[in-house]
Amino acid sequence: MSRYMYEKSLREIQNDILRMGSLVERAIFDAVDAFMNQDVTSAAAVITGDERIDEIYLEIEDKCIKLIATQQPMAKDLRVAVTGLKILASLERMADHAVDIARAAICLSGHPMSIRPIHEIPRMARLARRMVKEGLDAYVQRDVNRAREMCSMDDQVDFIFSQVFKDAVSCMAGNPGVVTQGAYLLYVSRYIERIADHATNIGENVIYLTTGERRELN
Amino acid sequence: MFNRIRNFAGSMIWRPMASYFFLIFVFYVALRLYADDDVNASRAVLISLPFAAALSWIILKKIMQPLKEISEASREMARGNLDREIRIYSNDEIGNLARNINFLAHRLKLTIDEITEEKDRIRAILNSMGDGVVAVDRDRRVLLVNPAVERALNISGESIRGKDIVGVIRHYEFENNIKAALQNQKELTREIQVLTPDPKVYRVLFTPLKGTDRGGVVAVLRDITERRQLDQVRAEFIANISHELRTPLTTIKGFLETLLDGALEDRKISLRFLRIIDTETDRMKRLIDDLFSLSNIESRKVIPAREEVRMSEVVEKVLAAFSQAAGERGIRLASRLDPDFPVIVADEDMITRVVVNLVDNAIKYSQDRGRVVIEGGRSEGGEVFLSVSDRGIGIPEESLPRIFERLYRVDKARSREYGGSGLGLAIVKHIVEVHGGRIEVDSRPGLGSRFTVYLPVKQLP
Repeated sequence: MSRYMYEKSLREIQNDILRMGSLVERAIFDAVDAFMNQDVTSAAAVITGDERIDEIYLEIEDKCIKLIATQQPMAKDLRVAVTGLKILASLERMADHAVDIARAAICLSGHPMSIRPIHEIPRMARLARRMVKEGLDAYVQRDVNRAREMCSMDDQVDFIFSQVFKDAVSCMAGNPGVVTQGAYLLYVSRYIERIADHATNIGENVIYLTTGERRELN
Repeated sequence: MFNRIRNFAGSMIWRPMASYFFLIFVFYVALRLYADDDVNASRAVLISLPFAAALSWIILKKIMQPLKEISEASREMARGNLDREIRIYSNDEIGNLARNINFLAHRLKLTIDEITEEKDRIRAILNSMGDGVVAVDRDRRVLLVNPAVERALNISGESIRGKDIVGVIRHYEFENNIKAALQNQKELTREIQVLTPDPKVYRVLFTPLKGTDRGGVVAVLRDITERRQLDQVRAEFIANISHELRTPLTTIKGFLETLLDGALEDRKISLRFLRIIDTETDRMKRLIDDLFSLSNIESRKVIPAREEVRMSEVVEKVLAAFSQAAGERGIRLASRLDPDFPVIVADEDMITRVVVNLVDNAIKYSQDRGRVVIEGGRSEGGEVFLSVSDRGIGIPEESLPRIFERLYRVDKARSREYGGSGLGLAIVKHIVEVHGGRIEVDSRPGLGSRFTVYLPVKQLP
């Protein structure tokens, strides 16, 4: 295989990662939307859609491993292949969290959410989704600054998460009637917080890919 | 002189010149030697020298220099300077050549101008289009993305041309549809939701590019988010209205069944049941009346009367009507109308209805022993305004844009206790609008709300 073919298959892998990324972004949005609107239909669609994401994930992983095995890339080429694998894994975890959120939406359906910090969830989810988007954009453009900026948004998500946590606990302490929804709310906010963390991992990988430096941005 | 010689030497023209000179010189010397027996070699050279010099000078002037200019000019034209003209006007072949090249350059320039203009025009059209246009080649690489798409999808990229479409528009479905259009060479229309990061719905038409050898697909994106939202509002309205109608109906049916099952025999119980049925029927009737008048105003089937309305009288009448209900809960009603509030031209019944609905809401959502104030006068913009403010529970910020929607409820559980139809504010808004006015709301949760109606001052003709 020539250098040209090698680069072509690397580019193909990168495009596949972006395709999977777009599905994951969508899954996160749909899951949180379903949770907020108690939309069982779209929650179920997120859960079945995850099978497709897993399929694509395995396909791309295979391609990556084959490329490494047959081409034995060095230096930056090796970094491209390896970070590809790691970004894939992060995306796959995010999709799983989206499924978790969709499951929570189904469990809670029929019980209107009235617990106070529920209003923070869309804001938190929006931030997390923006982080995923920026992370993938930074990956496409190999933009280190963008990756760093994106990672700094994680602090905001963490802050909202801690607020939601405190608020939800005090609500539950005051009113045993909201304990069930409070518990789900805590789960969901935790999943979103984890999604943001995985987005930070993507950012770290982009920095490693372009500069070869390892940075802990979390 | 020295410069000229240096120029001549530098121009490289001296090489062919030297060979011409040498050829002519040798030829002439040989001719002389051959023709005349008495001419010896040195004399032949002496005679030939000026002759050969003169002849090669003529060749230089007549042929070589013009050719050189033509070649220089044509090279410059090839570089893009088509305004350059070759200034050789002689009547021989070289002059012809120069004229033809000039003509060629002129025609070329016209064609290029035409093409550039055409290209600029197409670019201007694409740039000013409200719809988004994306074109890709058959390898799904971007050929063109117009500014509408860049704005709508937040694409920030210096050179997106030639990149893979997934790297520019990261959307699984979008790419799949492009693939499908490429494969089947058929047009496709799809509705696609894009997160940017707020969700937007686009209707996208994918058309295979025909007539180019490179193939490809053009996608035209039209934003239909608002239309989808309207559909959703309509769906919610139907869901709400069926719920609003079913609740009293279920109660009525329940009590009627109990009556039929034997409760009718007990006069006391049946009277109580019938009262409940009466209240619920009233509630349904109110809802249906409100719906009916709303639909009348909305469909503009009712022409508002044009009569002189004295606002102070209207307000007084309304306050008198509510004084008992307010008094029971210890709510004070106050009116602070400007003494020279102008007489306005409007439909008195409709305006009364506006005031009734606003005051009714203000009392409903006030705490006991609160107060409701009506103010009125001329606004800074020269309109008249009438505001109703309370110190009640207020409206959360996220609900403010929606409270004028039909059947929208801030708190679904609570507002049914107050027994409104959920149409009051929608009716108010429509009445104000058919009078050419507007309504504004200002509210803080826990502190109260203030609704202000602005109406234009009109004179009776």
